Amino acid sequence: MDEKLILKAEDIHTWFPVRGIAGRTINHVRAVDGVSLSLYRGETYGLVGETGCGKSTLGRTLIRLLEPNKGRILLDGTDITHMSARQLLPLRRRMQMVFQDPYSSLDGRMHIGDILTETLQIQKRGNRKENMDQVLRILSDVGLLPEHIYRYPHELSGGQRQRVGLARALLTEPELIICDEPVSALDVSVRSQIIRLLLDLQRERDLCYLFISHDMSVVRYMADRVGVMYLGHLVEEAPADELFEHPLHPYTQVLLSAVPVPEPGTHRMRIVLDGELPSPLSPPPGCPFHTRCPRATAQCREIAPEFKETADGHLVACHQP
Amino acid sequence: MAEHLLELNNLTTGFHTERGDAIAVQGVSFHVDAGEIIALVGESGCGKSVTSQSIMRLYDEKRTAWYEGEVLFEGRNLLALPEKEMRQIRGGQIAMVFQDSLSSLNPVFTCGDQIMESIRIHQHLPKNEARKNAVEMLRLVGIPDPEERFSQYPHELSGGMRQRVMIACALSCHPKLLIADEPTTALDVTIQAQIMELIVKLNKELNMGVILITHDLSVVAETCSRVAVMYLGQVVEEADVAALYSHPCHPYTKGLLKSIPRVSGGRREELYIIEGTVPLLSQIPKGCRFCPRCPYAIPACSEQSPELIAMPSGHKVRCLRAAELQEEV
Repeated sequence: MDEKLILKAEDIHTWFPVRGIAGRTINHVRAVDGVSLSLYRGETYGLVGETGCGKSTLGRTLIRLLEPNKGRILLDGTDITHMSARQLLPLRRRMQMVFQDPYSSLDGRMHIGDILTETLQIQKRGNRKENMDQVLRILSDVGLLPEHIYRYPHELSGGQRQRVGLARALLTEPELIICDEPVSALDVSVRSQIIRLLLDLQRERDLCYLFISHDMSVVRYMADRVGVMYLGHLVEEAPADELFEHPLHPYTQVLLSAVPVPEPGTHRMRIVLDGELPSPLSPPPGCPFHTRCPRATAQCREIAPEFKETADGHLVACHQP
Repeated sequence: MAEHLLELNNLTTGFHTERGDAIAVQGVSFHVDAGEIIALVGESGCGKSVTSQSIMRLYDEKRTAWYEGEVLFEGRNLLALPEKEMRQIRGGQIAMVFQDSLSSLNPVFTCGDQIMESIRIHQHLPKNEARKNAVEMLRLVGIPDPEERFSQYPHELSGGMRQRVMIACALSCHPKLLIADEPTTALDVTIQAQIMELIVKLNKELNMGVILITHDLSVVAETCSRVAVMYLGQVVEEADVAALYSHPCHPYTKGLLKSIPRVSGGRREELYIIEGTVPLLSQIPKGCRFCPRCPYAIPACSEQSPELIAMPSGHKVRCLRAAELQEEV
């Protein structure tokens, strides 16, 4: 398995400073607070969690769009944790990102051809003609037509824009793509087209996806392994089938029970949580979930549980799994 | 036959645009009874929101829009009412909850003020009584410490709490009909579950009719009794929830249902794809509107516009081949 390892993150902390009077840092938003994970070639790692749990921040930290305060990120054994932008540039080729909102992530004043060739110019690839050939090849791979290079983003539909976003990521022939909610803004019929495209591209190119989403059904369909985040922590990680069939962490169980099922008459037991998400400015001591956990004990309130393996590949951070 | 709470007869809504009239909703008919939740389902641009806003007559009839057909609310045609009477109905007897609670609530007034406003306008109550009612409303929608939340501003609340305030606003004048336009789309699953549960509970307790507008077929399955599926401004299929999910008749409904991934499923089955994209309103295809994307299309489909026909099974379907397709599962 180890030769398939692309990226390894150890104990990542990404904190954002909160500034008070005179720009002094008075506190930190602990967006990611000690997460370790490994990504392997050819797999899809689904990262789920609710708004504000730090899943996007983690994704951005892993490909060094953000610099972590603590921890280590290894790309194929190379430590990229504190590399400068210049040092990172050649490595960026290998890790790319697809964003949720393709409209705001494409420059509205450039046409599609320019948006795509810009990527190659930054990477200082080939001459103009070679670059254009490659752009045309990628466009057809993602199901767009050559004539689309003269269009502007606003002339395309949501699905087509997401295809452009994907084409831009694929241009540098990356090994790892961070997909941050790539299908959340799309309609049902368009969503299934993009999901199929993502899976086909993965098969052809042995890509690794970090698939960030709040939609459990889509993650179930896409992912090989799934990690669940809560308040900056990874609380459970397991192969997809294992996680969806035998969730161990109480938070995972709550999340799964809330997912609506498109079959009338199947009313499942829904676990309703009390209270609201604690603020990441002052996370609770002990287990981050203990304030809302139905199984919390005195131990949970004081000691943070370790993230440990209970069965083959199934990790959970809970005192009473 | 008993009178329905709300009945739409051939509602058509068009907009004047620079390139001529665009007809966003064409010939939509359905009805809602008291105590029932019916869903309007469809993708972006299918006309589900326009339908709901036409019921409330929210478009500027002098300049931008025109309506045809009938919207009968307790037997009165809303489209023929003078504006003054319409104002009594809006927010009074028919209320609406919108998707984006942050932009629908006024940021410079407290939540309590906004609930009180509609109570005072519609029920002409003095301030202290209106306040009492508003706090009661906040309690009804499950907001903890309603007294305290009353004087908070919308930005101080979480998304789920704001959506509850919106519902409290809508319910404050005891409407007979609630229109919920994508009430949970911007919310997380756990919060979505809470809000849907609240809407179902209030629907039973207050015996209101509810029109739930959504693109999420899973939410519909768990809450509604009847569903109307819309495509490009027309209702293409209407049926009871159970019948629609077990025997979808229209090819579009079939496709939609097959293209949702399921939590219980895994990835063994290929996800179905509806080919192509929704055409623009200015390029509506001839004949059946779904014909260019339909896997079951026959030559007649591009010639003849099908009507919404009632089937023996209780479905209403707009498809030439509905009878044959029903056999197929």
